[in-house]
This record gives sequence, structure tokens and C-alpha cells, in this order.
Amino acid sequence: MTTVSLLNPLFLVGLLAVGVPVLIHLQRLHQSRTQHFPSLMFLERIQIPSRSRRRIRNWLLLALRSLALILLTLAFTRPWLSGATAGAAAGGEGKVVVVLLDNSFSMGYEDRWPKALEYARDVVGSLDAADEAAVVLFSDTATVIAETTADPALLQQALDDLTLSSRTTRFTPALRMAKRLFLESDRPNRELVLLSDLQASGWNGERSELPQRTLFRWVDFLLPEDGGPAPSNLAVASVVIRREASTDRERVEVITRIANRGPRPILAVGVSIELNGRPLEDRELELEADESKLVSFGPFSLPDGVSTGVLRLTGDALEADNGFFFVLSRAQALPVLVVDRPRVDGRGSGFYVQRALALAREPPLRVRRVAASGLGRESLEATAVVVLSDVAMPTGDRAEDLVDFVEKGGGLLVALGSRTVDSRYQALSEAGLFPPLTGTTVRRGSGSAAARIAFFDRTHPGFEEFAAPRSGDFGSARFFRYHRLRPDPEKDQVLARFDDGEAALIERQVGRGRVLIWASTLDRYWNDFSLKPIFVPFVLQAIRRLSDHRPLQPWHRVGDVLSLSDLIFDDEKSGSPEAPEAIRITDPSGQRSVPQELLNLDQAGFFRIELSDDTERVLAVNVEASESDLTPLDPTDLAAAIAPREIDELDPGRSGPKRDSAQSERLQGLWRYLIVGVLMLLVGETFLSNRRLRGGRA
Amino acid sequence: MSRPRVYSSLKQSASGRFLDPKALARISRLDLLARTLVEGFISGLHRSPYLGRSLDFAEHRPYMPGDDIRKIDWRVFARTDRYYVKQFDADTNTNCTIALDISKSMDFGLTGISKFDYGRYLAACLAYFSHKQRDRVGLVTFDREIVDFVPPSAKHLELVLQTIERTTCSRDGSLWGPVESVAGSIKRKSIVILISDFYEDPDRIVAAMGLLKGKSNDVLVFHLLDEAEIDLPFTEAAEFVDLESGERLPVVPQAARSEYRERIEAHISELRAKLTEGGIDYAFFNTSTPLDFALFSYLSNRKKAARVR
Repeated sequence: MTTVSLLNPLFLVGLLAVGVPVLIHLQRLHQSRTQHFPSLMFLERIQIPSRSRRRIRNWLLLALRSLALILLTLAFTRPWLSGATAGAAAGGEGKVVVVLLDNSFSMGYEDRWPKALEYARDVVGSLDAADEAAVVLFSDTATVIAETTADPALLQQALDDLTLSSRTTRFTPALRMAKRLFLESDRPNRELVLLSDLQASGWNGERSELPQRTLFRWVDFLLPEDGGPAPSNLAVASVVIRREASTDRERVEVITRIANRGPRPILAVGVSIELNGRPLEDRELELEADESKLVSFGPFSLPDGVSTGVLRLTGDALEADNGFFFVLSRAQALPVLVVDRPRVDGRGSGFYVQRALALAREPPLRVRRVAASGLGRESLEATAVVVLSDVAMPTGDRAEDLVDFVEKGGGLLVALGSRTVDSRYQALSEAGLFPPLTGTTVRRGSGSAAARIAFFDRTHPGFEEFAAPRSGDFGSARFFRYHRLRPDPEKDQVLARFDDGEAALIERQVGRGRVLIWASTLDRYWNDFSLKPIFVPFVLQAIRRLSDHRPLQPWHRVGDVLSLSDLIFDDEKSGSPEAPEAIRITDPSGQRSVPQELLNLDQAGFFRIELSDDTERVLAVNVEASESDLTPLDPTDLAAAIAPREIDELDPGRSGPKRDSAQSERLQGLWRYLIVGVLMLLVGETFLSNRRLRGGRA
Repeated sequence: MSRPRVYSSLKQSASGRFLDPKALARISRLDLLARTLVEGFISGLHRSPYLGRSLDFAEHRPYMPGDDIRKIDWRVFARTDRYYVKQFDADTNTNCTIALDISKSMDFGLTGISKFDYGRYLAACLAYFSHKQRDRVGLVTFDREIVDFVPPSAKHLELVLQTIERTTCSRDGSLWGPVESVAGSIKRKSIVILISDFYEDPDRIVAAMGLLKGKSNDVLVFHLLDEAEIDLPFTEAAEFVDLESGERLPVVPQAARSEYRERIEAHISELRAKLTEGGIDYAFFNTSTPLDFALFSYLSNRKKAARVR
């Protein structure tokens, strides 16, 4: 039975108050100030209107005015019809329901995911004929898996074959998606059903207002029972890999921090490590509430090639974050050939370069030092980068070999000095290896007259390391002498300039290789650059740039997006770049596919990239550690950040949602109709009283 | 409540020779009041006026030394060469009946003295004055019927004054019945003085007065009203209560004042016109006017209007 209830019954007092002035007026008329007068003989003949004021003359006007006041008071009491169905508000116009289904990996705790799926099906199944719904699957992104439709079959179908993701939780994209769906629907009544474990880490407090008349519902069976503390959960908080390199082998130690994120101790925590699928070691430990411990594995030797490693945990109910994946490879020393000439001090023009290269760790370098005469095809065969440090340029076959080396992908660092002979240099310049020289050198002298580096392109790829503040002062070095280059705008990129604007460092792409031309020496003869702290990192970075060295990243995070071209190295030995269609990717679930240019790492585990030559690249991907914290947020905080701010706790035992009075009243909005009624009555009262006034005057 | 004994009230007011009615109200003895007042204004007159207006010629008598030579009928002397004086009815001890309205409406006054007190003082003065002129004075007090009746007699002055002094207003009034009774009680031509606020239809009043006048009486009418009854000076809306009927009427004085004044003025004018037309002497007294002044003015005018035959 439908009954009328009042949200603000106290306003009914106003209804009584409406009559009070009338009563007071009448009472005051009756008990007005009294004046005794000898005779009312003459006053009676005059005061007929005043006497008649005490009588109601126009009952219709009184009725209109009284009714208007009554309706106005009732509007303030906010009446609503209790017993009306959820979908019958304001005339039964139906509603639009948006189901936000959380499939972040934290929903894999115990049976949350199947329960959420089941409830989503119940919501879809309970729609009325006038209702429509949409389903949004969300984690850190939101995807509409079922656009708004009134067809329950389509909605149920969309819920089929849904699986958990490896991603984290973020509510904002899902709420924005819901808002878009609400606004696109013509249904005046709206319901947002959030099926989520309401992780606190997924909410940054950002306001995301929903449209008016939106009923917000959440479920309690995905949260800790009776509002209790969050469940405990184990996670790999961090991993550090320590390498110990020796002459013939490399050993690594894997140190991991295991954390118990929860209010209860976990007494039997198992930690194990696998390498290339083979168990190596395991440990057992106990963790108190909110405690973490370090566990060290190894050191153990790495085989050749890329190895895959897994850290596994046992002891909690959330499997998704119980594995930590990583890749390792033995460090490959990069062969560098330093070509220099002896000097009178016995150190050679490449001495300082060689000393800088000896400090390299990532990648390690294998440096060979030869004289200019030793530069040839044989020496270039096992070399990745060649450094020509103030030596005479090769000519003839050696020049051709050098050009060929660079064109095939080799790197060349040239430091120009006194041995730079114009004609030999010119020949290589004409071969396209170098920018031409002007034929003059700049002599600036020492002391304050010396030139300094006034500009260095710290944003250039390969030199981003110097972009950070206090990463090196190129301006500290003094240059006494340098060559004046003529960079070609179409081929050359000037990476550094002297204070007179002359190019100090030029990069040129030659075939698949690169050339860096340094306009001065890399020793102490023409400058003191080699004595400055910036020298060593510059030389090492230059070598990395020229070698196009890309260190193997031990792991990525779910959600990272990588460029395929960045991942695939051209194989200079095969001499042909990889064609995308020749590549296959196998994701951690075992699904094999042709990759797109952008690779979305959306699962935890190993992505294996198979190249055409049957070689393989392996990417290790791990879940975000933040998602391992299962602490839920307070639903009222979330509700407070979205409008309208109703909260309704669902009772799983009922067939439909339980709704509080404010929600029902807001949905029905009867007060609006009362206000319209008041306005209509006042219009009628105005018309009637004006008509009466005109009639009285007539 | 005893009235305070006042000594200075016997002195004339600083503004003139007439006594403030409020001052008169402080005189405890009515006889003293009447005497003071009457002798006060008589002393200011060249000759003592005569209350009676009806100077009907009665007879001649031979002149005797000491007679007022103004009474010598010079026509007779012309015809007879003898001195004869006229003798009027007034000289023959006329009955003077003072009818005082003591209905509740008379017990109203916002100027410091009620119409009732003013009327009492007026009645007392007239009684004293009449007695001083050797008339036989009587009194009738009435509201809706005769309350007190003192037959006219030369010895009844004290009784009249006492009756006036003790009388009170308590009931509603009606003019016709009492006047009819008075008219019926008068056997001989008399002076009838009616003191009232005349809150009745003018025609009915005139008709009632006609009962008295029809018997050849000399009828004097003193119409008393408080200034508030004339101006309606009230500022606040109030429920006006009729003193006699108890009827209540909400009144907004500001809204009613103008018309009310017109009506009361019209009433007074109509009464004056119709009574005068009927040979009845009409005098309107505003109770804020000094009683002796009002009386003096009236008697002066009356004296001028007298004809000596």
C-alpha cells in the first residue's frame, strides 16, 4: 500500500503558523482597544465597512490563498510516496543503470570476483521493462563492455567470459564513463551500481560529480565483514639484483623485501626463487601485521643469454601478487677500439679516453687500443665503437673500411687535433662521414682568453643524462684551440657550441651508424676538458650513444606501453631490420599474436617476442605493488565526492535495493508539483482579486 | 471619593473672568458652586438678566416710587397722563422645572469634566439663578424614565441641589417618555429647561419638545457634548463601546473622523434649526467651554431677544 510520508515533518508546524496570524488578527479585532463612547449613533452610519471586515466576504479568495499556503508548507515538508517501486518514480518513466564492475587483480581475493559477477547478473536480471543498463569493466581504465541497452540478453552476454585483469584500481575513469552513459540516456532516473572492493589506493579524493537524481549503490559483501579491518596480503615490495662480475662468469644475488599488508600476522610465508623455470632456493618466514622482511637468494651464476626468474610467495589468498617476474642476462662487454698516436709524454692521444672507458660499468667495455696503422677491417670486425683520438685519418682501403663500418651500424667518435690533415679529412668528408672543415683552427690561448662550451644540447637522445640539474658543467673546461667545422644543416646536428658560436660537437647519422665529431682533442693539448669531472661521463655517454646501447630492463609494470621499435634491435650481423609482420608475441596467458607498434603490457608474467631469426626477446611484467594493499576506503568518502550524495547499502538477501527516505523523495520530487500548484493558485488568486477590485470600483 | 477642598477655585482664572469647568469641579458643594458662578457672572452684567423669556404681559399697575422706570408703559401715559408699569408673568413667580438627563451617555468626558457633571453644574446654576429671581424651582432627573422629581417650589432649592448632587448615571436613556411625563406634570405655564446630550433622532427630539411647548411653556434646551464627541480626536483604531447599549463597533478614527464631524455638526444644526423654528430656545454647550461663560453668553443673547410690551 502506498502511503504518503514526509521527509521534513517539522515544517507542518508552519501550517499551523499560517493560521496563527489570521487567528491573532481576529482575536485582536475582538480584543482590540476599547473606547467607551456615549453613542454609536453616528459612527454606526459610517463604520459599516469596518464592521463587515470581521466577516469573510469572499470565500473563494480565502480558499485560494489558504490552499496556496497549505501547498507551500507541504512542499517544504518534502512528501514522498512510500511503497512506490524503484522504477516507478515520477510516473514510472524507467531508469538507466550503469554497473561498474571492478576487475582489478585485488578482486581476485578469495571469491570476490565470482560474487561480483553473480551480482552483476542479478542487477541485469532485475531490470524492469522500462529500464536500460550498461556495464563498464574497470581497473585503472574503464571499458564499456555493454553499451546502454534495454535488452537483458545482451547485457548478460557481455558478462560472459569476463576475467580478472592484472591491473590496479582507479575509480575516476569509471565514474567519468558512468557519467557519460547517464548523460547519453534519456531516462530521468539513474542508478550507479559499483561492484568493487573499494580499494583506498584507487581513490585520490578527486571529485567526480554524477548527474542529479543518481542513486549510488555499493555492495557490502566485497568488503571486510562488519566493517572490520582489511584482510592481510603478502606482496613482493621490492627486488634488488646485485651482480658480481669476474673474468669468466657473472654471479647475481637477488634480494627481495616481502611485506605483509594487513592487520593480521601470517605465520607461514613461503618464498622461493626460480631461474629459467628451475627452482633454486626457498625460504620460510613469519610476518607480523604490517611487517616486511628481507630475503636474499644466491649468489648464483647466470647462464649465457637472457634468463627468466620468478619469485613466488605462498601463504595468502590473493594469488595475483604472489609472483614477481624478472629477466637477467650476462653483461656483454661492448668492444671499443681506441685509435691514437703516441705522444712525447708517453701517454698517447687516447690515454685519457682509455682511462675514462675503463670506468664503464653499464655496459662494461672491452677496450682495445691501436695505432692508426692498426685500423682496418680486421680490427673493425669485433668492434662496436671506434674512437679516433687526434690521429691522421685513414686513407684508401682503411678509409673505405671505416666508412663501411659506420654505415653498417658502427659508432665513430672523432676528436680533431693537430693530426687532422685536411686532405685526408676532406676525403672522408666527401665520403659523407664527416662535415667539412673550414681549414682553419681557432687559437684562443689559455687563461681567460680560452674558449668555453657555451651550449650543450642536454635534451638530445643519448645525452639526457646531462639534463638533470647539477649533472655536469661543460662550461668549466677551457679550450685553447679547436677546428672550425662547417656543419651541414641537413645531415648534422650541432650538440655543443663554443662561446664564439662555432660547433664543438656534431652528430651525423651515416647509414645505420652514427658519428660524433669533437672539434678539439680529448687530451690535454688543446684543452683541459679531460681534467674536468664532466669528461668521464661525457665519454661514456658518447660511447653509449654511438653503440646504441639499450640495457636489458629486468622488469616492467602492468600498464606500461612500449614501442615495438624500441624493443627490437636491428641485428647488424644479419644486416636486415626486423619487419613487424615477422614478429610474434606470446603473452603470459599463452596467447600468440602479431604485435602492434605499441605493445601494451597488460598482464603479469613474461611476454616473449619471437623474431624472424628464431631469437627471442623476453619482457618481465609485474603488478603494481600498490594494488596489494587491500584496505578499503570508506564508502561515504566516495559518495561524498560524487553528487548526488546518497548512499545505499544493499542487502544481499533482498530482491531489490533498500533505499532510504531521502533517495525516494528525491526521485519522486513531489515538492516540485506542489510548488507548481502554489504558483497556479497564486495566479488565480491574483486574477480573482483584481477582478473583484475592478468590480468594487465600478 | 471625596473631592478635595479647593480655595483658589473661587478666584477667577487668569485668562479672564470666567471659571474653568475643571476648577468648578473641584468645588465640593454644589450650592456654593452655583452661587459663586451665578453671582459671578451676574456681577459682570449691567443688569441682572431674567431667565424667563416668556415676558407675557399680564397687567398694568400704578407706578410706585422705586419701580424700574423702564417698565413704565409710556403709551398709557400718553393716553392717560398717568404712570403705569407693566407687569409680566415673570414677575409673578414662574415655575421653573429643570429636566436633567442622567442617562449613561451623559457620563462621558475627555476634557476633564464629564457631560453629566457639566450638566449638574449647569442645572445647579440655573436652579440657583431661577431661585434668585424668586421663581419656583423644580427638578426632574431622567434616563429612560423619570428618576427624581422635585416639584417646583420656592422652598425647594436646597432639595433640588441635593438631588442634583446625589444623582448618578446608570441606565440608558430615552427622551420621549420622560418628556411626556414632565409635560403631563406641568399644570401651569412654566419654564422648562432640558439639559441633555440629545442622542436621538432630531425629529423625535423636536416632537418631544413639542409636548412641552404645546402647553405654552417656555422651553429652553441645553445641548451638551464633550469636545471629543464633536471632533472624534482618537488616533488609534479601537472598539468603540456604546455607553448605554453596550454595543461594540470597531472604528478607525482617522478614516471616520471627517464624516463623523459632518454628521454631528449636521445633527446639531438640525436640532438648532428645528427647535428654534418651534419656538424652543436652543443652546449648545461644549463642555470644554467655561460654564459661566457659556451661561453668560446664553443669557445675554436671550436678554437681547426679549421684548417688553
